[in-house]
Amino acid sequence: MMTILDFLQSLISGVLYSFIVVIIIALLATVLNYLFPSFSEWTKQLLYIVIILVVLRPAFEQLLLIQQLMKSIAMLFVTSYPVLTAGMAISGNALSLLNFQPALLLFANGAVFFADKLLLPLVTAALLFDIVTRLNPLISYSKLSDMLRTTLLAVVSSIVAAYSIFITAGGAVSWGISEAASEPLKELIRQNIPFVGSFVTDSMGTLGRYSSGAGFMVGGWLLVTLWGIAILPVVQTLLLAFLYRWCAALIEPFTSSELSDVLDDIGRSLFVLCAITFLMIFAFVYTVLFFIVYVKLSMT
Amino acid sequence: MALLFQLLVVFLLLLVIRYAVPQLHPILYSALFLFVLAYIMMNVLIPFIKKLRNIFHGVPEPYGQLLLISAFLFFISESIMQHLSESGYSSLANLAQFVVKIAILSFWLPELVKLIQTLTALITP
Repeated sequence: MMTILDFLQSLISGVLYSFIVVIIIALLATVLNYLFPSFSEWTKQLLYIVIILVVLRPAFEQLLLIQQLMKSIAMLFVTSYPVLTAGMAISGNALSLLNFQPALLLFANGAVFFADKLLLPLVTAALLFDIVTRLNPLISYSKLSDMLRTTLLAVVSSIVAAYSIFITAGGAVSWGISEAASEPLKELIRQNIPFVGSFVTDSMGTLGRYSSGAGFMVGGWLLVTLWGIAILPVVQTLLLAFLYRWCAALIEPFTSSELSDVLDDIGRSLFVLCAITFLMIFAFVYTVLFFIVYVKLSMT
Repeated sequence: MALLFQLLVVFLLLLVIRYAVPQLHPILYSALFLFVLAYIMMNVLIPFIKKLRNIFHGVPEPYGQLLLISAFLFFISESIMQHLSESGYSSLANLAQFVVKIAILSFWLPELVKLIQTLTALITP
């Protein structure tokens, strides 16, 4: 738990540093504009370069990190699924225990493959379109990047809906916490996290339904640990996205509208990235749970 | 404030020169202009920019300094350019501005290279 807290703290302090830098740079630019009005055109462009280099670096690094994670997890799936499926089929009773559906494994693998090959490049494209738009406002791609983001969210949420259909159709597992207790919490998340909120609660429900069924095999604390590890990239991306949007709101009075707009748009793209990361996490947790169950079954 | 008074004195001196020796006026005007420009730079502008750099030391290392230096260079080129075009040599003024623009851009070239590298790292598979 302490390591997780330390990790979060280091993440937030690094990001906060670059946001304080934005505000200081914006003030410096205001002073320069006042002193040398004829330089203001230059200040705007140079400031933009500095912002991309300093402030957007956490976003770029996050995107690269998710790309790498996605690649390695897709590789893990490709290598482990044949073995896993064969083992499950041999041990037999796993099928009855966990309502094991080979189609679901195939689906999870397909979702990760899809995310790696199509969704992530599209998020990158949306991000680059935003930057290009602000770099040269005459050629504007803002509608295109907006459309890319909404399309991506629609695709991701339909994949999650398909997941929940797969799992609830099995019907063997049920959502652990009682509905009455979890419903207000879900509503709170849905209201307060823009874009991905409802998606987060939906997939939480789906996963909860699945993992509570696996709980008696795996053990509660192991599940919590697994979730804790798996959810970190999502939390990281979500925090980053929020910090960008806060920063955009903070610097709006000081600077030209382009700067705050680009930070706001990058924040939105990061929300989409967070949704895509969720897909990966879902498939990962699912696979690891199957591994654990398989090992336990083969030991008994 | 003392500087304002000194500028007024220079202005009066120039008026006297124009009245007394009109033939020498352009060259004396240019000389006085350069002298005053150097004086202002030494006494006001450079200390002020140093002070600004100290105030904004939170800006990461090369960028704050680069911004200030480019603005400073741009201001100097602007004033020299204006003086040249006032004397009727606007083609020379144009050249002066061009040279300073190239100088400022060459300061920023390493950062531009870094920018391009950052953006291409995203799309290389």
